[in-house]
Amino acid sequence: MEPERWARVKALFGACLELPAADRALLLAQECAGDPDLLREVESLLDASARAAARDDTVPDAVVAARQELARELELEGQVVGAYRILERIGEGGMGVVFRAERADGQFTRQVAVKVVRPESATPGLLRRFADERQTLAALEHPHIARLLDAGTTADGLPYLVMEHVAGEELDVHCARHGLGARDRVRLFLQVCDAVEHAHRNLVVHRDLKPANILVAAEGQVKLLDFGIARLMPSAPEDDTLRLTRPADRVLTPAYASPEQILGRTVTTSSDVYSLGVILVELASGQHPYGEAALSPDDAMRAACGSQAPGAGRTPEPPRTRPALRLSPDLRAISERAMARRPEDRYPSVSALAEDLRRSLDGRPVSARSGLAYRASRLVRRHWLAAVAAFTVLAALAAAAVVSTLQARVAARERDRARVEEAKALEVTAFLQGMLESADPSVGSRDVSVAEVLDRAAAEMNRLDAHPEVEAAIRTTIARSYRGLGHYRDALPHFERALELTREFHGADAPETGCALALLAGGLHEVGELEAADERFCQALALLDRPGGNPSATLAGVLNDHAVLLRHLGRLDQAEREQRRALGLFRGLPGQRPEQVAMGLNNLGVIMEARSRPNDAEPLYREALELTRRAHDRPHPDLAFSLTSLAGVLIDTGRPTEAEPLYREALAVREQALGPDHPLTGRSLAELADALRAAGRPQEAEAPARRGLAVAQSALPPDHPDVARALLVLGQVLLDAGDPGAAEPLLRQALAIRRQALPEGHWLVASAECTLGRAVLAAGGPTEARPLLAAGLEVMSRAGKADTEIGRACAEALAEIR
Amino acid sequence: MASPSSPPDPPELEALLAEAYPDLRRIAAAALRRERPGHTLQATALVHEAYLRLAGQRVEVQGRGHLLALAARFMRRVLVDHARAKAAARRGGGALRVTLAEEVAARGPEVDLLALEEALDRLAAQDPRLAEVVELRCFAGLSVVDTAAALEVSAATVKRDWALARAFVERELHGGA
Repeated sequence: MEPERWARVKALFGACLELPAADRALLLAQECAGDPDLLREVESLLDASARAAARDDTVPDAVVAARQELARELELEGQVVGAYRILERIGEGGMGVVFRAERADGQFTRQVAVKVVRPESATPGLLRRFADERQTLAALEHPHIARLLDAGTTADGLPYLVMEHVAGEELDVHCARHGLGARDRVRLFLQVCDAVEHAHRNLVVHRDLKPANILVAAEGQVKLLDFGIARLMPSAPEDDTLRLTRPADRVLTPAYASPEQILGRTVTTSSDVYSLGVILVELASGQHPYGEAALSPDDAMRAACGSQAPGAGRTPEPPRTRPALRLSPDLRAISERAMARRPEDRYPSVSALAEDLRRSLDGRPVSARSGLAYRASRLVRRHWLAAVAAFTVLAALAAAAVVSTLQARVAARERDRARVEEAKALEVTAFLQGMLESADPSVGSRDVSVAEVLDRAAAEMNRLDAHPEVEAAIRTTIARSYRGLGHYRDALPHFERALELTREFHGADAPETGCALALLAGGLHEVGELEAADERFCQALALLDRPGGNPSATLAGVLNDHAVLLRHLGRLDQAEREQRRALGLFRGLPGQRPEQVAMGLNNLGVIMEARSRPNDAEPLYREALELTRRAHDRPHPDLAFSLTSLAGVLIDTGRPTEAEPLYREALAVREQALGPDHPLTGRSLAELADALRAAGRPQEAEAPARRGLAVAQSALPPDHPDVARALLVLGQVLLDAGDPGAAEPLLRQALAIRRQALPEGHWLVASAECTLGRAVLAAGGPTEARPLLAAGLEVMSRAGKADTEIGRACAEALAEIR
Repeated sequence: MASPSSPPDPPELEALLAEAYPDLRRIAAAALRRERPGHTLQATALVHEAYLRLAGQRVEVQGRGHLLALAARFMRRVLVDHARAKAAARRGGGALRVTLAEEVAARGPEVDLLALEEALDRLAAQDPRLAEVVELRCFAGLSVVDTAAALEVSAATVKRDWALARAFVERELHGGA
């Protein structure tokens, strides 16, 4: 504003203040006539003046607060805390102020850093955690970790930590100032990995890794600060048993925090792997992986968790914004794996991450790019998996509890019954939570495998004198969790025990017993005990499918599952009958769900195929795929089923090139939704390999075929049909690639499994015979090949499969011998 | 040197603060430590005293008014520096608290102080004396009478200036009408 005009404003404002409010308008009207801007200016100042006067404070609150805070901090300078005299403030973070200090007794000249917690961070639980964790942290001795030397409380009751004082500069600053190249940066980063790995071996998770916590001393030695401190600092809930379900408020740095940290879930070593990935990108590319916009916490949160509201019960989306990376392909792949959205997709340990970086430095192939060694070791499943299992179980349980309560109401039983149901649900939840809590690495003291979590729950059950209904519910949940992880064999005893208990409690003829029977049957089917599964399904149906009974979703589901089994058993007439009935029920159920209808369609399609009517199957599959895509807005295992089913028809009708993209999509879905070690992921690999082979590209097919077999063999019992299938696929791939000698033993194994598992005269046995026959022939054994080919072709012809790829190849081979 | 009541020019103040900062902070600590809410004058007296000791060696102090203006400017500077350091720590990777409702407390008390600082800068651009009044009253805790004495103007003028300065700052911070 021009000085003259400001003088005018000032004068008018002063004049108005002298007047009673009522007279001001008149004065202003006179003085500002023809100058509405001036009027507005003075009026707005008068308004503001009235507001300020109403507050009646000379010194603004902001100044008072700032002075008090500064006073508190300054007060510490020169004071003695514990054995140390505080010298000067050297920094500050969100939770406290850091001072340089020295031994007060002058014994050592070594300087230390003292971190004093802000009063608002000092909760009662904090001191207890200090006592608990001090020893662990103090024992953390590593050349690249700044040691925790002491901890205590100041005279004012503020907790403080005494740590090794590191004279150095922050990692990113150091790299920039010395103009370090990518390789040198990675070498520094490897020192960081070393330190984090050491801490993880000592069961300490950093929880707040970021460049500001990583200093580089003069000699190029990296020092990590604040190890495990983030855990000490936050005011976690006083009741630790609620930790799993109720995210505490935590200290974290959104720009470096993992999705699970941001969502307030269990934090594990894998969270550090994520943060290391972020730091790696930033270090090697000079850019934060979420892009420039990630400087604000909200944006960082959005980037790490997708657009989803934090705290929602599902796994967050991967970061949306990827940097315009100038990273090498190796580093890009490595950081992407480290920063995988789901902990189980990340490197299983920091050492695995470091190993890949060393490989990259040495010019060796890195695992993150081959995608092969991606497979987390089956033997050492680390914390994160336990956490995943915990959430799986809890989610299942919460759903089950709600359903059982609702069912009790719908059935309009007496009020007491509903109360029992509710009590049951609560009891089950409490029990499992306790179990899973014990698997939380921050509570327990060592690595815990999923199986151990679940087994421990089971063992605990025996000691606990639980209500049979409660135990049955827990057993079922445990079994389902095993199944969800693909541990089919481990699920069985729990399904069996659940059946026993249900039968005891509800009676042998009760529908509840029917449900338990069907669950067990499904479990038996999954481990390949087909006949036993059939028997259980029939018993279940006898209880559930009563004349005059109400058709239910349960009945439809059991019919559906049984039909699948019947097809595997080769009893196609009965399979088609039951499947059509299940589909009808799914379509007609009140509140029908598209994914169930899709499942019915899919399964019916498979039966049509088995009946050699692929043209009838194709439209069923297409409708199913459409329904499935509509039912799920994110990768879902059902989508993979729909995709592979349709692809299968395309293969059988001689269109492998059309099938390939469908298989690839299915594989991606399964890898993402189920993990790389899941048997269904293995199946997808085998299917893709088979499509590539059928398209005349056996060389490309070999890698997925081998991976598929490896997954099947490690995840399934050795005589499982899927193992046979994976063996056959790899065998055929090798045969087509011109290596019958390598193919032969695989095909023999496959045939043995099928002969064992399937009834005599089943065409799947025959097709294995045909393929083995061809391999034997190609390897130079016409005498042994002939009976195999002849018997195989005969059965294939009887089953209407003579005109398939395998049938034709078999006939050609026979003709060759003759 | 400028008029008796004006604070030292920026280069002079920078040089002074750079050299004397640790000492000044410690003295400010002593001042602030004895401070009770609502009793800011005592702190001023102490800063005054502290400054006197320093100024005796380094700056030619031109009367009481100049001294008080320096003390106020100094206190403002210390608080703002502190707030800036805190804000930077929050932004640049300092830990943040995430509450149950997942709200991020990205905004701390320092934000208010930095906003006030900006408002004061704008006020100084428009009317330097009004900014000085605010500085003396808010950061040195002077009464109207003491402020008038320091600035060598009448109490009535300070009263008027103070009202307008407050209104200006209020409007900057919380919007117009």
